[in-house]
Amino acid sequence: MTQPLPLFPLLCLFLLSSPLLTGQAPDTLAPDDELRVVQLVEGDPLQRNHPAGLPSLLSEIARSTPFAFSPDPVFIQSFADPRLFESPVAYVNFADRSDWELSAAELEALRTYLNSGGFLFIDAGINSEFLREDARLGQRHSFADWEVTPVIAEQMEAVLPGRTFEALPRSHPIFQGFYNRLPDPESLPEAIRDYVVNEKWPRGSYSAMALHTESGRIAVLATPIIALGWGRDRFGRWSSPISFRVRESAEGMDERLRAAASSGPSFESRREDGSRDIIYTQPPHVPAWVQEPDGRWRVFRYYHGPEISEFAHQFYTRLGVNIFVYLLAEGA
Amino acid sequence: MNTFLKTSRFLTTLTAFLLLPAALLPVGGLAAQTAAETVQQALEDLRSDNPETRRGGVMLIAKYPGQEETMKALLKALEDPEPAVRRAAVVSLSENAPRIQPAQARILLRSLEDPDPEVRLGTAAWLPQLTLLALRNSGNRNPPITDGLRKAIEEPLLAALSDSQSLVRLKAVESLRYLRWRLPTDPLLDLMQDPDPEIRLQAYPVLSSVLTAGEFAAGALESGPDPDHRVRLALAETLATQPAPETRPLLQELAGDARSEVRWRAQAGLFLLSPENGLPDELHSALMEKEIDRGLLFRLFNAIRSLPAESGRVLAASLLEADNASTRARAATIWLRTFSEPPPSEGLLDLLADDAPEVRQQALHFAATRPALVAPATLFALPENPFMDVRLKALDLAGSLPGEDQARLALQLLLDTEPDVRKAALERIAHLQPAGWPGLLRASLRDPSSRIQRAAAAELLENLGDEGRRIAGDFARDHPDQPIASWIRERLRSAP
Repeated sequence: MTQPLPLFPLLCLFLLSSPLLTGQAPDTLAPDDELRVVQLVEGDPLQRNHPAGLPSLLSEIARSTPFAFSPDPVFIQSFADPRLFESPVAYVNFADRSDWELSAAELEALRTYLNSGGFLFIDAGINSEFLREDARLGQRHSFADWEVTPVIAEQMEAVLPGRTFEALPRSHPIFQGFYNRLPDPESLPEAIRDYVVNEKWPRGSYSAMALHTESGRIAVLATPIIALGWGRDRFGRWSSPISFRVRESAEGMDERLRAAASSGPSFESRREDGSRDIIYTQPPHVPAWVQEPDGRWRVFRYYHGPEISEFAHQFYTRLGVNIFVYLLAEGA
Repeated sequence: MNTFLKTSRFLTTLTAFLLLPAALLPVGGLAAQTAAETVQQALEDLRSDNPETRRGGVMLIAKYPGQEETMKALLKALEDPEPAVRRAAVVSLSENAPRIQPAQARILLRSLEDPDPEVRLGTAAWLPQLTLLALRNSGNRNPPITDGLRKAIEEPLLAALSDSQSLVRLKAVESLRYLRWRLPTDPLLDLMQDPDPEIRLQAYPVLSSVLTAGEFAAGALESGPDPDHRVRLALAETLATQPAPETRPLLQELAGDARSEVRWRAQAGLFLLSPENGLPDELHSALMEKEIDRGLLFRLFNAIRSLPAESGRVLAASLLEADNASTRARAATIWLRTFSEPPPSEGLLDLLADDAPEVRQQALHFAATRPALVAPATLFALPENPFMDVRLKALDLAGSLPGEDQARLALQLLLDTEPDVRKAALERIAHLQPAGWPGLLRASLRDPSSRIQRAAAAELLENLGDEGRRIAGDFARDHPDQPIASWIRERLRSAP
């Protein structure tokens, strides 16, 4: 059986020596003090999804916070790999593993890891129903939903028996750990600004589900894909453009949508408070409009453009920084 | 009505219902509308005096791209007096980009000159795709460039290049690479001095493909060194990718840049122009330490290959220790290629023991295709190689050696830790039958690997005649408890 490193003491030692607590300037950390993140990728790491994502985020965390992360993750192919215990933070993109049935050795290793103070962040661990047919769909669509992909829920709840995933409220401190607000929305088109600020990502929050340990610490965190917003190229430009899906309405829209013909399947998505939206789609797999729990109907609109992409990347990067900083600080 | 008739009518109705095209099924919401009915309602909304209702109509109709009136109505909405409606129309059209016809795309391009900044920005958001679409004719991806077509695309694009919003200019720059005719040079050269560094960063690679090398170099020199190092890096990278004699002065200027990554890329461009001048130290260090873009690496090694054999060999040898495996592999290819007599055994063995399989493969390929240039001492050292892929090939590489030397090598390999290597060695010994072969095969019947035991037994029973069968039979009799013994007995029993 794997003999775990005691992760809590390791993390505390790191934090005690970190400039966060000692008041030193962040750039005084020696390279030997670099924190590594373990990343699970099945097969060749070069073939992983959003390859520039995590290294760019870790560089950003090292640049803007006292946490001196190395941009190079330690790659493992299985949770049974003893190198899992080399870092208090493990990251996996749901689509970087094809079969999520964990072996007995993995279940045990992961249980030991999480109970010893480790964290597992499952990016794209939330995939709305219309994205579940093909894991690649969940790499391009980040649809707000508060329901963990069933196989992830089943496997993680087997790792920590008796524990179940719970929705993180919008007000949870994980969303304000380091940055406490959204990027400046002034550049966004007027038509969507209010929606983005007040409904889509209020105070920088996001749909997230967490599995807590008995002590109440977050052990596993699942979100819709956010790594798509982290990657930068060698010029510092964002690696891929991002578009917005927003909900819009206009006078008389309720009545029109209530009666409108729909040719695609409809599905339900869960809100943070457990209430349900009914999403109507048009082929191929495109959410077209929604009936909301309060009876309101709104249309989905798709906005593209560099200013939108820039805002989204800044948001996802801040979100990533907040998540990692919170997890490390909570662990300490 | 009798039951049969009732059932029959029910089935007819059900069948008709099931055969309805899915698009006509009224499954949305509470009411029972067809898509055509919903579109008619949206068209009614578009005729309303209330701009909010018209905006709603624009959003609703976008969800029915298959309906004939949809595109026509959305394009008409681009002329709405209310900016909010025009903005909504641009977004609705972009949602339906795959359905837009080239002529419609050309109409849409006019929105780049709309007085409302958000309309212009919304159009610019998908300008590259729109430009590509506008350039086509129905069914023809490359229609002749008529004056009408050129005017329809060029005028709005030039307007966008000088738009007050930098994001509009950015997308216009991105679209330039799709044009198949020359635009006026001045507005293009102006981009090199655009106040927004992101635009200059985007512009240099694009301009290098739409301007001549002379125009490009003169414009860049006149603009002076860019204050943003990323822009200078992009420029150096662009020039290193396609160096031309006209760009030499520009490359020389960049080779003296304050930033190392700019300098060595410019030096790469200069080296590609005149490899005979040698590889500057800084570029050499970059090759030794950095992961270099595959295309540039390929061109640099092609230039090294063009050098006289002796200089090429020295240069390639100096790169055999590079950190990056791709660099080492290319250096190995060139270094080996320069020899007309056997290369130093130690050097070849080092390549064969490289951690990177691509480097070992280059060395193995050399040894396999030019056996006369591989010294026997090199081959006899292969059993000590740490990599199985090399040890597995050792006997093939030794194919031109005298039989006794091959047998000696096979004997060494018979002690290998990997069963696959031992199996290859065993087969070669059975084939060569050197002195003492019966004892070797007999010993292999006690190999820890059942695969080797089976291979040794098969050789004895099937390929080595009466003597082989006798050795195998004796072994089975002397060691009846060995697992292979029962297999041998069974084979001997069933033998003719």
